[in-house]
Amino acid sequence: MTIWDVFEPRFLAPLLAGIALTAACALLSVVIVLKRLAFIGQGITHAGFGGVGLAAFLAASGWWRDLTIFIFCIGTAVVIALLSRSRKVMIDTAIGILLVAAMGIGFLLDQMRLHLRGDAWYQALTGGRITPPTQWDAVLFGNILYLRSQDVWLAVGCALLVVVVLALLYKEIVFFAFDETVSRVFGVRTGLLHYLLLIMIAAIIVLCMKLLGLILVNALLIVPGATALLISRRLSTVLIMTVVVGEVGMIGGYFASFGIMGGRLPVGPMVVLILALLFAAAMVWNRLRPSRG
Amino acid sequence: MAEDHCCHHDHSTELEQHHAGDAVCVDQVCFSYVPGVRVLDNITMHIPLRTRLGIVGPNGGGKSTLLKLILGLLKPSEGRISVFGRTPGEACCGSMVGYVPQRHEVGINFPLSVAQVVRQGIVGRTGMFRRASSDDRDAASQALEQVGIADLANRPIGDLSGGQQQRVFLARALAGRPRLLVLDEPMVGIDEVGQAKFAQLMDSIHRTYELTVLIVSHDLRAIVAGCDQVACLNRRLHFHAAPSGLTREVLAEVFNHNLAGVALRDEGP
Repeated sequence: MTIWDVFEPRFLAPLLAGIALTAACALLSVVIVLKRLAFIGQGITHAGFGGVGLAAFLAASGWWRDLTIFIFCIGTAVVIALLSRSRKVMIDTAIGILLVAAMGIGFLLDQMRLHLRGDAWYQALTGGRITPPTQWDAVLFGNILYLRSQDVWLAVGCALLVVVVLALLYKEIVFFAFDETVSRVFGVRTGLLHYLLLIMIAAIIVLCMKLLGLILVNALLIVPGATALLISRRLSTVLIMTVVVGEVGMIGGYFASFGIMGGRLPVGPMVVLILALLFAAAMVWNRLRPSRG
Repeated sequence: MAEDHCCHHDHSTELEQHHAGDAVCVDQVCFSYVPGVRVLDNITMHIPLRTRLGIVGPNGGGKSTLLKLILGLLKPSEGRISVFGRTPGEACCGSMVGYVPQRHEVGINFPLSVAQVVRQGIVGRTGMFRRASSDDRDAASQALEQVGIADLANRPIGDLSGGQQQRVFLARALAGRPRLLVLDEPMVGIDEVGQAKFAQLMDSIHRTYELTVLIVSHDLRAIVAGCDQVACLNRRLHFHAAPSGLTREVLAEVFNHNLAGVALRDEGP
């Protein structure tokens, strides 16, 4: 493949999904960085492994597979949210435990189905369906060829929805991130926002999975916001810059993966690498600049 | 059913009574974080409209807890609290209450200008999914002028000194045009000149906005000057009247409980 192959419809459609999802991720990343939700995001992405394993165990495919993973991620997000509101367990401890538990369950379920294939109750559960072995490297790093056209439209639709919700609630969300307790006194419905943010993060993670892979989604959920916040302290500039940084990473990574080594390199790692370089550049610029504005 | 209705009726007349002359009614309130360990024990206290009440007491005496109960951040284990005849939660959401939190580090890189922080004070009035009315935005700029930092409106919040930030938070509390203003330890970390200036500012705000003011502090001196009433709190309410009625004996009782020899060294153990 060459870089020009990108302009074929079957490769342009995933790029369109990528651009839409990146915009949503980039805007969310500002909130994630300011509200220090990065580790919660990690917890939810790792829950994705559990979801993939569970879907394989249930022999779910197509939409059912996506739905299973989504529900597993949402479930984990809700448990994290509940735990983070209790006083008994520290939030990072809770996430640390859930993260490994979800991965463990995922890999175990994926293996178990191979051994249970002959059992009658398992055949009744799955209806005798057999799904191909889970390709963990595709789960880890993504594979755009897995994207069906309906995935693209779902991604674009959900990304738009996230952007609209963020735009409508932006004054509440920024106050919530600035000082949660005080915002509650001033009438912000903090509980609602907390769960809404976690659900949006979980949904975006599932949608990004095929494009970038589970682990690399985290890059889009952290780096654009972190970079934009190094560039400016004006909220409007930060919101524009975070989308610019995210899209440069996504579009740049997409083209680079087609252009280098005959298009045999995956998109996800390329996107992450470009984002990391942009962040490093912003760090350097932030240091060298005489005064902050 | 009839009984239920009757109860309901009693409840509402009682609330109306509360509403008449008092901003805040605390009625036989107890609170414990851990079952069996009461942080607040049977507190009853009425704050009349437009008074300035200072609540003092040693650290750990339950001041912050009482404040959180009045702000609706905690629910009493026993007893009832009403703010302008409503539950604390309703009063806060209706932006009847302005709150100036204890000073804490604001993220230096937080991308908000002073004006944007002050406008946070009107989110409760505006409601979700809506733009603030021009009236409310005017109130926000007016509050900024009132506290004397209108010239800093476009600066990032992280650039301001601690004292300036506190004025920003005061302006934010005033922006929603509240009827009750609650300040948590406003004098902490401010030098004496700053304290005097802040007391002056509070004086003019009290006159302009015709507010009920509730100030919590562990520093008695900071409170007595600018308050009409003082309440001494150390698990129980030890005193609640004009500051002139405060005696050494009362103070010894309140502070010695936890801080023997620290708060009032000359009183002895």
